[in-house]
Amino acid sequence: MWVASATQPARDPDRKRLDAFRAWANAELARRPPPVLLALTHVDELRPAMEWSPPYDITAPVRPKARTIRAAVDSAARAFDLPEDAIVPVAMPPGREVYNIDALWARIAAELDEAKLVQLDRLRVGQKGLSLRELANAFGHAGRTVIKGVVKA
Amino acid sequence: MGFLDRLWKTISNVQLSSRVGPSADQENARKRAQAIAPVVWLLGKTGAGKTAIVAALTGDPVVVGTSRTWGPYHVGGLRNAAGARP
Repeated sequence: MWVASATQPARDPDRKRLDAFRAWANAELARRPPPVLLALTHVDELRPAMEWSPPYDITAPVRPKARTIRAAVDSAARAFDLPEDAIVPVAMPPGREVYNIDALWARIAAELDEAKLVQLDRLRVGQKGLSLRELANAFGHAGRTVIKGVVKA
Repeated sequence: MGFLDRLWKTISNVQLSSRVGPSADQENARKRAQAIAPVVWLLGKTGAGKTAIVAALTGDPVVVGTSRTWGPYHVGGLRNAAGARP
């Protein structure tokens, strides 16, 4: 998981490091290259900075904040050469509730193989109902992540 | 302080805190979870929010992993009971 701030415009150092990581991963012939996700942090500080009343629908953004979050996701997708559905906007404002960390967790789960998912679901004490994979799908439909057929059946 | 020194200090702190910390049941559950847990590497610039993500994802202020400096980057997420970063 690459972690980058949405408020940091300079992407070149990150991109160089990510490309180096990709080259290393692709050269490891004995292993499958790990899937890369991007956690786009500090989205609460995007303009308008005063507005922070999540959740925001970033698949069909209406409110100004939702639009800037979506623009930040689109921009990061280009800068990092990642599909938009690999990017999860998050925020952890000090003293306030974290935003979209559950979606990030579900997005990680969507990359796991079935056996691992079953094991993890079994360990999730007291969280009956939706499986992690179903949760990932649900967050996509709620507009908190951009899901494009990412949730594997 | 060099990386190995910091790592050693972190490990010592965690070992020390675990002696008086979690009960045997919690420790078993932690070991069981660690045995099947997926490995997620966190990479990013200093200040990007890696530590905060680890704490928020796991809901656990005592997360032990490996960490190393990669240029201006830190690889991995690690935070011990004292809140020190490796």
